[in-house]
Amino acid sequence: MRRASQGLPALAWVLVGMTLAGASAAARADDWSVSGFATLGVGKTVSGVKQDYFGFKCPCYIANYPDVGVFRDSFSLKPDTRAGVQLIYRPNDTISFTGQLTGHAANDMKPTMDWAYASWNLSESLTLQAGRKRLPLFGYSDFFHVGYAYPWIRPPGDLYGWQIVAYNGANLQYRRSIGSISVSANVWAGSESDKDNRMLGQIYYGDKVDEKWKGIFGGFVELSNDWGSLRLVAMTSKVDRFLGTGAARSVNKDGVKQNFYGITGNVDYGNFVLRSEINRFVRPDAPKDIYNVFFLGGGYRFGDWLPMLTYSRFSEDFKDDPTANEKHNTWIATLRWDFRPDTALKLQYDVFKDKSAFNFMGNAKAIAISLDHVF
Amino acid sequence: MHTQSNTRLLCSALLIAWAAIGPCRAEPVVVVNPALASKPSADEVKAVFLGQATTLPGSGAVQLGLPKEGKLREDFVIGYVGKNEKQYKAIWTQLIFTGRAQAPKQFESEDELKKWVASTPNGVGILDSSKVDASVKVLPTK
Repeated sequence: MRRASQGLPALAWVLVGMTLAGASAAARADDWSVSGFATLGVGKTVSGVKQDYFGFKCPCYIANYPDVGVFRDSFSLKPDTRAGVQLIYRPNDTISFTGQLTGHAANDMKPTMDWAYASWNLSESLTLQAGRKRLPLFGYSDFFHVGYAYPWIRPPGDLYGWQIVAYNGANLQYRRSIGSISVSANVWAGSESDKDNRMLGQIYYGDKVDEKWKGIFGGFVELSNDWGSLRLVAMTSKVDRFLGTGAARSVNKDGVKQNFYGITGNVDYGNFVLRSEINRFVRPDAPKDIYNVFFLGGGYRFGDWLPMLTYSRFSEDFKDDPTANEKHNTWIATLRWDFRPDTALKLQYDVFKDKSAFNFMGNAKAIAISLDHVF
Repeated sequence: MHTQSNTRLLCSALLIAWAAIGPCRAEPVVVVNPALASKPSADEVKAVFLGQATTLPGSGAVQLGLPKEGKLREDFVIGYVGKNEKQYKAIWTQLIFTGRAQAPKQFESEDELKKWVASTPNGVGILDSSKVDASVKVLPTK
């Protein structure tokens, strides 16, 4: 269906490549920097429920909700393969301009601009930024695609299932060291409109979904030292949602208030690795809806090897209609091998239990292997 | 190679003679441009190398420089930052792609790195203690 547009992304990536080649030729000047990341991943379900789910011929396992990366019973590169390039122009120590283009194979590598912003250093501790940025909602949201930076092939799907991943607006960043503790805080405001939201459209409605988040206002505080970090986040916004097209277009949500709270805690103490996150999402006005999610993962480094076990859970509490509740959990076993300084190989086995009150994806098990590279 | 073992021999000899450690034990030190006014604590210096801070008190934004690879870098990352090289790279990967910190400049040789620190007013780098001279200033790391 979307095949006709496949030539266009390819052309865009060629243009990006040419621009980069040009930029790196010019990058001898200190004020430009280019970097990038890529994940080549392949995987499949090893078991699952046979069904037709909104056109997906299942068994299915949703590896990546926002990009709609769904494993099925034959090997596919699409659910986990992605790449991104970042270009920064820094004419002086006070101002910089950053752009990042990412593409995901689940969306035919269509170039997406999640970052395009200007930064001003107002003082030693304060930075003002304006433009387009990824929403730093969850602990891994703003580097969701950068596989090299975390232990798994992709962050746990039970938590990382958000339809709005970037916003247009401004933010103020504060950073300071106090003794051995570094404090980083960020407040942001903005809005985002997605006329054809892939996650909601393909996974939840089987229809075209127009999603708008208005009056986004949020902030986080992160405390870190040389062996751990603790991050507290809160955000509020109002959502408008329209389903369908033309005469069949209908209003699903009109200015519905939603609040988000989260805590992320990470430890890298000696060879011990701990990753954890707990979030609560509330639409307080009737019909009241609450999502409680968390994950907890632990691992131990053996030189360049990091085996890790993670448990994640998503639990919805929809007050008006318990038969619409979505509930699932996943056990994730991961082995990361840093066989080169800039490349990691990962193996992952996911066991997904679907306890939703309605007919959702169903229980599934999936295997995947990936190569993560940064440059 | 020869120079290195000669230096080691010389150092051992001096060590025995003076029963002192100090400049003979070659170790990584953090160096800055002499013009950098800041007098940071060891913790504040470490925060910069972990990308948790982008400034040193009283000096505004700093730029980091590190050798691309080699023993000096390894000794520094493991011994001082307390991470292995792969962990260190993963930490920086997150910082770079979320725009939280500027990637350290990578240098092919220590001499290039030293020249860069000496000529960059907000430059912060590392050097082997045996290579320190008046063109750079050593910051406390303990």
